[in-house]
Amino acid sequence: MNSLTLLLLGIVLFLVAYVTYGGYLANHWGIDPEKKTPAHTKRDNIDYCPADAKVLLGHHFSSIAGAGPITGPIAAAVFGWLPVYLWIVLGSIFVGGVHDWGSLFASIRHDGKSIGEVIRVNIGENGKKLFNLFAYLTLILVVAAFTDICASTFAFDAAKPEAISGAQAGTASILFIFLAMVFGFFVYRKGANLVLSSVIGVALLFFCIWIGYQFPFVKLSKFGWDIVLIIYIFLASTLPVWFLLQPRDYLCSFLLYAMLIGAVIGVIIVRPAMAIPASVGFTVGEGIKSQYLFPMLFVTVACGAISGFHSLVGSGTSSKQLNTEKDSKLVGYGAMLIEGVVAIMALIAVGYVVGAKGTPAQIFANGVADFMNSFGIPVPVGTVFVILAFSAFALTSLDTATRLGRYMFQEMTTKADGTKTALSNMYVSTAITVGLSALLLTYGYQKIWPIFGSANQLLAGLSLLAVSAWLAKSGKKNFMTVIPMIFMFAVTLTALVFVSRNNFLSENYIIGTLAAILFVLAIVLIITTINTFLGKKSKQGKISA
Amino acid sequence: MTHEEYLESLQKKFETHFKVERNVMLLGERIDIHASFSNVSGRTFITPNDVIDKCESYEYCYVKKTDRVTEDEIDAFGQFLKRIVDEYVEPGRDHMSTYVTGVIIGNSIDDKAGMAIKVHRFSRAYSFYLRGWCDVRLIGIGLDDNQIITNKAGKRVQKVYQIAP
Repeated sequence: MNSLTLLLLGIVLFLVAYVTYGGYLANHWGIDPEKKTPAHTKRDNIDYCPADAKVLLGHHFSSIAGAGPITGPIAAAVFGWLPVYLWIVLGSIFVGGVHDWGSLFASIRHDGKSIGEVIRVNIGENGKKLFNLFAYLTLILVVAAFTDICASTFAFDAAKPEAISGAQAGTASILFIFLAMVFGFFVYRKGANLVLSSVIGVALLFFCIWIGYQFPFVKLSKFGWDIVLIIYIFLASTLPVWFLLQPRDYLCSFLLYAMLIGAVIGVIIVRPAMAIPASVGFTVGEGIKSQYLFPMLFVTVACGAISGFHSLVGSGTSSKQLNTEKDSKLVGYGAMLIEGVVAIMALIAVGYVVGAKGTPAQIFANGVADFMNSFGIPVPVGTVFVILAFSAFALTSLDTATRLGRYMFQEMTTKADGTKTALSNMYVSTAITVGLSALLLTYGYQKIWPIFGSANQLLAGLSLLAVSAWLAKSGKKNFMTVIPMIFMFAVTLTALVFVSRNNFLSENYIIGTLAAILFVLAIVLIITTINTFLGKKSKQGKISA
Repeated sequence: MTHEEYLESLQKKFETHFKVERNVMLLGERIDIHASFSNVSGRTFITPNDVIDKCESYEYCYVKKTDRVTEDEIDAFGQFLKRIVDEYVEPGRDHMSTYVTGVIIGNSIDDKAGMAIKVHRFSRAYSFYLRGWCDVRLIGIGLDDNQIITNKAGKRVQKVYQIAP
C-alpha cells in the first residue's frame, strides 16, 4: 500500500466525518450558535474571554498534542500497519473526537467548568482522593516513559561512534534550552519586538541544529542523559513558567509546523510504500512476552485515537474562550482529527522501513528525514531536526506532567484543614515525584507505555461516563458516548490485567504491582462514579415522584 | 487642553483595565490619579483552584499635576516612586513583573527637567529574576506644547499618554 494513499484517505475520511458525523452530533446535542457561551456570560478578560475560533484551535491543539501521537503508533506497528491505521482513523472519528468534543461541549453548558471538575464535584471527597491517586500514578508513568525515550534517543554509545545522530540532537537540544531562556529574557524583560525576536529566534533555532550537527560535543551515555534529564525536569517544573517553559513552547511551535509541513511535502513527493506487513494476526510474540491485538493496540495508540488527558487539560481552558457553541466543533472535534493526521504520519514513518530499530523518536526521525531529503534537506540534518522536534514535544510533556504530579502530591499531603506538611513543600514534592519516576527508568519505556496508555484511556472512559450521564439527564440519546465508554472500560481493565500478569511472570514486580494497584483503583473509581450518577438519578426520581 | 480635561481623558483610558482612584494621599504625596492593574495567567488542572503554574504581572500608575514641571519636582517624584517600589512591591513565588509608572503633568516642562526624566532609571531584579523584576517608568507631560518626555522604560507606553487634539 502506498503511504500517500493512506495519508490522503485518512485526511478525506476525517473531512467527511467532520461534515457528516460532526454535523449529526451537532444537531443531536443541540449545538446552538445563538446561545451565549461562558466566554460572554462570565467574561472577565482573564480566564473567560472570547477568542477567534482558528486561534483557539491552534492553542487547543498545542495543549493536547505532545509526543504521544507519535510514540503510540510507532510502538503499536508490531501488529502491522492496518489495525493501527484503522484504530487511528475510526478511533479519532468515533471515540477520541466524540470524547474531546463532548467534554468541551459539556463544559460550555456547565459555565466553563472542565469535565474533570464535573466528575470531581459529583464523586465526592473520597472519590476525589482516589481520582488524585490514580492520576498521580499515571503521571509518574508519563514522566518515566518520556525521560527514558529522550535519554535513549540522545545517548551516545562509545562502541558505535558512527551512530552520532543522538549526540547531535542532544547537543542541539541543550543549546535550544539556553536559546529559549535568552529569547524569553529579551522578549519579556527587555521588551524586544516580538515579530523581530521570533524571526531571530527561529533563525538561531536552526543555527542550534547546525551546531549540534557539526559539533556534537554533548556525548553522554544513556545513564548520563537520565541524570541530566532528571535535573532538567526538576528545574523546569520549579522555575517560573516565563523563565523557560513559555519561551521554549513558543519557539517549539515553529519547529512543529516546520516538521509537519516538511513531512507532508516529503510524503507527497516520495510516495513511500508501506514496507511492514499489513497485519500479523491477533498475537505478537510468544510465551510471557506475547501481546494480544485486543486490548494492547488500543492502549498503545492512545493520544492518536483517544486520550483522557485531553478532556482534563485542554477543555478546561478552551471552553472558557469559545466565542460561540458552533466553534466547539472545530476546536473539540477538529483538533482531535488533526492529531489523528499526526498519528498517521508517525505510522507512515515507521511503516516505511522494514525492521526499523531504535526509540520511537529515532524511527520517526529516520522516516521523516528520508521524506524531507526529497526536497533537498540532507538526511543527517533532517534526522537531527526531527529528533529535536520530537524531544521538544516530549520535554513539554515531561514538564507539564511533573508540575501536575507535584501539585497532586502537594494536595494529597496537605492536611484537611489546609495545614501544609513538610511533604507538601514544592521542592520536596517535586523531588519525590521525579524520584519515583526515576525508579521506573530501569524498566524502559516499552514496559511502561502500556500501563500509561491503560490509565490514560481509563480517564477517557470516566469522562465519557460523565458526558453520557449529562446527556441522559438532558433527555438526549447518548449511544454515541456510551458505546465508546464501554469499549474503553473493557480495553483498559483487560489491558491492566494482562500487563500486571506479564510483568509478574517476568519478575518485573514494581511494574506488575503498579498495574495491579491501577486496576483496583480503576474498578473502585468506575463503581464510585456509576453509583454517584445512578444515586443522583434515583434521588431525583424520588423527589420528582 | 487643561489639566482637568487631560486627567479626565486619562481616567477613561485607565478604566478599561485598571482600578482607578482619584485624589489619594500616598506616602505623604498627593496623587491625582492612582490606577492599578493586575494580570494573573497560568494553567489549572480539573478545577480553577488546582494551579499547575501561574505568573503575575502588575502595573501601578501615579498621576500628579503641577503648574510647571521642574528638575526639583522630577527628583522628588522619582524618590517617591522609588519608595513606592520599596514599600509596596512584594514579589511572591509567581511574580513576573511590576511596572510603576509615574506621570507628572504640567503646562510646560523645563529643559533640565526633561533631561532628568530621560536619564531617570530605576529597576529591581528579585532573587536573580527568579521572582521577576520591577521597572519604574517616568513620564512628563507638557500640555501647552503637547510635549511628552519619557525615560527609557517609559517609551513602551508613550502612546497611552498622547494628548488628544
